Amino acid sequence: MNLLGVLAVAIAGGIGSMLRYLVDNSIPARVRERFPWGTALVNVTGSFILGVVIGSISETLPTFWGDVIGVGLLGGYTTFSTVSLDTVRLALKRRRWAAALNGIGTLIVCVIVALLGFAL
Amino acid sequence: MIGTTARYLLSSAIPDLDGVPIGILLINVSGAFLLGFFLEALDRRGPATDARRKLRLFVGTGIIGGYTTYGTLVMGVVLLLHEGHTLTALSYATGTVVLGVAGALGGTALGRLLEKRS
Repeated sequence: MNLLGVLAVAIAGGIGSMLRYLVDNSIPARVRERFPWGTALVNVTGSFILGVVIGSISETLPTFWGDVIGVGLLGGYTTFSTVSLDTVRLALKRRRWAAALNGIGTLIVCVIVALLGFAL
Repeated sequence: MIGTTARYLLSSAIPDLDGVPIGILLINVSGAFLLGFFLEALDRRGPATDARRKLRLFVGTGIIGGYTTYGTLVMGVVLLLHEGHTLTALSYATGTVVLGVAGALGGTALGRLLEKRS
């Protein structure tokens, strides 16, 4: 890891976070108020692409680009903190099934799509 | 950028523990705590003004959102499964989700507590 590498990962992370915002906001606000479908969409697509990248491309990819795409772009695109907090907030509103779907469903679906991407 | 840089440096500095990416676990759980605390404290300070909305977007979505990651968590699970460490993979996955919810709940509670005192 060098300064250029850290800088490149940082910029890629910024781009990933912006993409997350755009994809999340592509879901109408009325829909997102009921359930965080935007965050779920971000994490599922990001997990799948990361599975593809690590499964088939990373071996031929220099470490530099692996870090930029995997840690930076896709790491910054997907997010864990929002999922956790949304799960808590749904549970506090006594929406137990929605909370369980968000907390456990996201994990299961993301692992399945990442396995699929990895196996491709 | 700030969040991703912090994650990159921290995860590079913390070695795996028995093949478990403990650095990513700590990052995700601490980020869930921070987001719970920050958003609860922000929401309780008053209505969503334009400045508050921007702060929420910059710190919540940008810094803390970029600090934590779902993709790397999931790939950690996939690689453990791939290597045949099924029990470790399941423990790592469920452990992270449970601790993340506990962290977000703790952060939310602390955000409420501080608001009552101020």
